[in-house]
Amino acid sequence: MSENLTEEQQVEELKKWWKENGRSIIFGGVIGIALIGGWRGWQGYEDSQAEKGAALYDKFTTHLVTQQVDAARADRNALVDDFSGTVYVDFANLRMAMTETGAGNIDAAILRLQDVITDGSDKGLMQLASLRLARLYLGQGKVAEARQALAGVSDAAFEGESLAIEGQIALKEGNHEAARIALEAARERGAADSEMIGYLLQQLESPKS
Amino acid sequence: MLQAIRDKAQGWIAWVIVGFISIPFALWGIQEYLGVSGEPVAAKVAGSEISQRQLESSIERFRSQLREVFGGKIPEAYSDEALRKQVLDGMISDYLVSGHAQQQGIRAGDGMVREEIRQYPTFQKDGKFDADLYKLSLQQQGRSPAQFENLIRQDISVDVLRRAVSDTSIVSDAELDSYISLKEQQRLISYLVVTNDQDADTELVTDAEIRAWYDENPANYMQPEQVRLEYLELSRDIIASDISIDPAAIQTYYNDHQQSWTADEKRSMRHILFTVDSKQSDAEAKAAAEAVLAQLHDGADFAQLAQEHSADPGSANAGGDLGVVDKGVMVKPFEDAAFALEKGQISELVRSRFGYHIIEVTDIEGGGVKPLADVEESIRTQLQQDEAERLFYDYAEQLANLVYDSPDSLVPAAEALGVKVQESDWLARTGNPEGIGTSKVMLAAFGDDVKEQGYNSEVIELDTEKVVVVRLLEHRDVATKPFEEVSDLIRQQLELKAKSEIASKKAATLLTRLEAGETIDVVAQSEGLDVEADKQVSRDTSDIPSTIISAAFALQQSGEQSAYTTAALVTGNHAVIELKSVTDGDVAATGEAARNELSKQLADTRGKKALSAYIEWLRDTNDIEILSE
Repeated sequence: MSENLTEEQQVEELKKWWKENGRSIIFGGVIGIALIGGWRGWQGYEDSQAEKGAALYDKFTTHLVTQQVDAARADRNALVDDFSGTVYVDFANLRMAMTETGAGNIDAAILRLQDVITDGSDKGLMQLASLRLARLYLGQGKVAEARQALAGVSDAAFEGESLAIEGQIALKEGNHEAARIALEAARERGAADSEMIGYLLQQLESPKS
Repeated sequence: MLQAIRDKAQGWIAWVIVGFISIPFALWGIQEYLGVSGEPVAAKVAGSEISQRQLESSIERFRSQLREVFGGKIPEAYSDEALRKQVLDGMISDYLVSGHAQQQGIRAGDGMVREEIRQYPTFQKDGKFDADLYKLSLQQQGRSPAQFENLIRQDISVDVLRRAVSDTSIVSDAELDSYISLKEQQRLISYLVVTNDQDADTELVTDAEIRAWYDENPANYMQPEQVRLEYLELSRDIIASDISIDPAAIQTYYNDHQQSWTADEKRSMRHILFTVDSKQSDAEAKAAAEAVLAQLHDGADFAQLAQEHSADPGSANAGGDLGVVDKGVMVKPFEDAAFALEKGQISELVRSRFGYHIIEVTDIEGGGVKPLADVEESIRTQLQQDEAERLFYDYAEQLANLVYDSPDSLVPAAEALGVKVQESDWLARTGNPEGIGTSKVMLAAFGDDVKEQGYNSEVIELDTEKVVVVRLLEHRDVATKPFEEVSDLIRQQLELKAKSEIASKKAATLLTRLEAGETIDVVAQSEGLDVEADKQVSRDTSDIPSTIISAAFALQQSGEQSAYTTAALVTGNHAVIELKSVTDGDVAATGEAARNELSKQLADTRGKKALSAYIEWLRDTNDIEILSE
């Protein structure tokens, strides 16, 4: 650029520059705005989807609380259809498993827990479901299935419960030594059902007469 | 010069400069968006930060809750460090759950948020949500509705996640059955107790053994640190007892409080009533009454006439006797007449609303002012107490000054105030619940000033009318109690142990005999022991020693055969136990309600464990960095 340009010359320069670059600037601007808008829109859509899922789940729990089990089953199916992959489906399956168990439909409960384990979106919930599934199988006397369900538990946080169930499986199989070791480990980790574990260990730990 | 700058500031150099200058403007305030703040950070949890300030305010909140629970004082068990760790742990868990809820896309809709806010009692007027109240309350907290609603939204999603984990635990009927059959199991046992009786003159424990035991186990016979104190006690009673009261003052007080010494008058009386009612007119009643009155004046017996003529159902049979009558009990005309009579005098006819009465006063008690001699002592005490109360705070202040001025002795204060220096027994830090051993005094007695420096303590207020000052007389450190003091105790302990061992050995031989096939009856007979036969016991049977019960429940039967074991009793005796059979708890006998209760209980604990395991899992799988020391 030469020195001491007049104002007119400067305006001229600017016009020339705009002619060369104007298009790309406008284009860039439009793309930028579109991107931001799109991102916002997507977030809004996600939020509203999540809120819709939440509302349906809320309706589902209300139906459970008021013991309208059939309506609750329908809600759960709707959640599976429209909101698959969200954690609400897992929640609904966990709750439904509990309700079915309470109504004596153990097989249905087992299905719901299996749903969580195979289609779940939360590793923690999947492992909880595995533990619950193992307990149901154990109650049915299906020792092999119970053991297989326990294989779904891999993280240390759930080990205590897993050991408690494992101990009871071993007891059922007549393997008292393995039962004792597992139950003692479970007690050490503060597993639930401490009273029952205590009763079982009381016998297992006594020297054989 | 400016021209020179302008000249030079052309071309790419200028653009570079402009670029540099624009950087701070472009990034101004960006930390708001990135969540980077200048504040010190206590912990980083999965990408978000817990600031030191947030931690401190949570700790403070927790402290004030503790104070509320424990009545103003946080127990020593809660050290600062433990408290800090507990609070930070709690916050980390909250952050983890909340972060995970967000990450999992748990989001409460506006409707749920609205519903939740409507439930808050703070925003309700007469039990209904009030929009103005809501806005006002938020303004007072310095929050905008949007901020608050976001907070609630977050709370709801956290709650939804927690509940999905903890409120979904499963207890199947099959599990419940096996639980009940285990818990309510019954066992049929027989047992005999091998006593540890030995001939009284057999020496079980020698003196040398006692000495050896004492030397080897000094920790069992420790005596805590103790102090013996001398102290000055100043109380209203002590001050009062030293105050002499001028007899003239007693006289004045007596004169000024005449009514206090006047006992209420009580009169015993009897009466004959002639009622005026629909059956008997006034004139008829009056005539009848006058006739009886005339007989009385002639010397007839009052009681007999009352029995014959009185219409008062309550007193007629008792010869008209009304017993002792206080003032203010009878109807007005009756009372006026009755309290105007002399003892033994019979009234004229008295008309009350019941009819006509003839009244005789049989005895008069009380009344009149008590003589000074009777009340002198209590007046003196009263005056002493009044004076003592006046002097107490004055004396307490003098005491404080005196013991401060001569911190090495209580004598000057004792002499000046005319109180005796007293001595306490040996006191441990735990003190005594009463008197000089209270915790306030012990705190001072074991404090640096008194125990280490040997100074007088400050004036300690025991209650509103008693203060005390203590100083150290003697101190003894933690030490083993002298042998002489504990040798008897050790002898008892060792004898019990020896006897128990004898019983244990005997029980073991009996056990082998049982296992070899002898019956418990035969064994018992040969030893001259009684068998407690065929007791059906459950886990909570309480009329049989608990060690027998737990030994019986620890036994494993193989098939139908009896199993045997022994158990030590607290008395040092030993039991030999036969387990005859095991009956599983009766599932059918457990009622629906009890079953539901049990199921709920199991589900609750399982749910709690599930939640804590889930949070532990979040801890394990997220990055947590604790920066706070």
